[in-house]
Amino acid sequence: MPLDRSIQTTTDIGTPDSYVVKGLGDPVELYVRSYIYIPAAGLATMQAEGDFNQPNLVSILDGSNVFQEGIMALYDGGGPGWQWWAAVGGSPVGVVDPDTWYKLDFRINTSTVKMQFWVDDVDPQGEFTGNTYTSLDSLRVGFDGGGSYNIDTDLHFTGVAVGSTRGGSDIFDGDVT
Amino acid sequence: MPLGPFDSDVGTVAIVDAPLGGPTVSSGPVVTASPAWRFDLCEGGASNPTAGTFIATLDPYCTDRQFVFDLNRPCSVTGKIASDSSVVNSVYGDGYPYLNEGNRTLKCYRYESGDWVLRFAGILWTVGDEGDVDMGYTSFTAFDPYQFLFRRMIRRNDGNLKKTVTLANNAAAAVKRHIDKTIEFAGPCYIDTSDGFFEPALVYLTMQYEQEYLARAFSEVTDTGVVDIIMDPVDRTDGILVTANAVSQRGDDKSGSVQFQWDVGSRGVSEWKRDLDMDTLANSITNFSGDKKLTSFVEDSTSQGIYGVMEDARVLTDILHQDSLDALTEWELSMRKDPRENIAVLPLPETGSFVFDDYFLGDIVTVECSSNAREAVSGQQRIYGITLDVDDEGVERVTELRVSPAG
Repeated sequence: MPLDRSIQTTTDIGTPDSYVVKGLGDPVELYVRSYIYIPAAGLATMQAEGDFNQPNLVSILDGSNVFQEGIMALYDGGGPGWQWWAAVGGSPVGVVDPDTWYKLDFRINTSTVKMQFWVDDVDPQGEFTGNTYTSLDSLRVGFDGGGSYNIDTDLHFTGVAVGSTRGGSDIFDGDVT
Repeated sequence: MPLGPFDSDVGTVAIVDAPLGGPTVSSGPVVTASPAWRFDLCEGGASNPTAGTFIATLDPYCTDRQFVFDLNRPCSVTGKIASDSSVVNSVYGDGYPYLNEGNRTLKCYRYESGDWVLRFAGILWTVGDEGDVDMGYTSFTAFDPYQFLFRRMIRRNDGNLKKTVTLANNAAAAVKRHIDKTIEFAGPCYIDTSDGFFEPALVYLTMQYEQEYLARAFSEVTDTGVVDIIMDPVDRTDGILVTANAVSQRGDDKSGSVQFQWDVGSRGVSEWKRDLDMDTLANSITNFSGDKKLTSFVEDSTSQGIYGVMEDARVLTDILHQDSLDALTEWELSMRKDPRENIAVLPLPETGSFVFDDYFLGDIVTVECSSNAREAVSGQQRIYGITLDVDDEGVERVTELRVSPAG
């Protein structure tokens, strides 16, 4: 069954960031799922920003809108790979091809301070424990570069879901199809 | 007006037809139970100072997974995976395939109370490739580092192998000393003793060996019943996979809370098997020391009243001390005065008792069967072995629990 409708986020001159927001109520643990599509022009825009300076695409923030964790398509001098926000500076993993749908999942547990992510059901890095988390209050999906971007790019997201298990939607079902 | 199911939006957002028609999923966002197990492939090589470092997760490709946990023996896990998977045939930085025997290790985590807990860490010992008309498969077996001690020799304090080696003194301390000696003279073996617990004031034991594997010597020591060796998996990336411990008896008495009942009570056992035989029965036992200067004799009049006098006498060449000889002889009588009994049970998942959470190796549990099993059985049994299958969804099931009478 195709998810034939998607959320398009567009950034242009005067609109540096574009994203949607959902409150989550600060669970101890959550799994976030989103399908993402990055056009070639979007990847080119991100690469132009220089190494380790890419926007968050799917992220979790605390009650003061401080980033807790997120996924990005990161450049580190080579082609783009996937990386999570707290691990920026380390080498990204895998390859991000343009005009391709990817399924991204990640998990955060504030009790055990563990994070893990999957790209198309493959966990390329294992658990990560390099961050600390205040709370898991809200979800942002879209182009979120902290206001540092101001050039054209589009991104597409669909099948957004937040659950207490991987792939679950018991916390939030963001289906737009 | 917020966009779709979201609370708010920032910038320019819209719901549009998805590019390429959108991703195809089986049935929308799928709610599935969190997998109970995760298998991580890691660097290996006993001399590799970064052994244990993560390489790739074998899930979700791995099938036919089975753990075999045994008391005082190497524990193992087997599995099967498509050979063309990138987590199998990719070439790692050392030039070998990701999945490779000898210089790769496997860490198996179980999901418990919101966290992944390391329950097995071992060396990829056997790797086999096979193919059919459709595809190729690679099967593997990993053993915990106890297995590695089958390729390490017991040695004297000066490292000498040629002369007679004595495994003496406090049994737990002797285990630690000999692991430390093999690390000192032969190099790392994935095992750390510095963080282990070695129970003081255990039975003093003296055994002598010439050119014997450490693991085999340890098995002889543990078979006396005076000490259990525990290889606790530890999540490290410095070449260490387990911490060694030695205690008088592994496990706890959980006979009041963990009960496996066939045709009685909760009926939490779907299958069971019990074997009794007279092959090992002896109720009048005499043992001599290696030099025959020491003798230890014990007998059990109750057993003799039922079965008659059944004798055994042996020369224990490795024993030099009276205390050790007496301890071994008493232990032998306790194990041999009744017909040998082996019980294997297949607990139902609904039994309410779960491996790791509620019971594990060495624990004493209650096993009960009604008289429909020829004669009723009700008593405390110690767990000597567990076979645990993990299905393709990561769901576990104990497929055999091996127990023997406790006490």
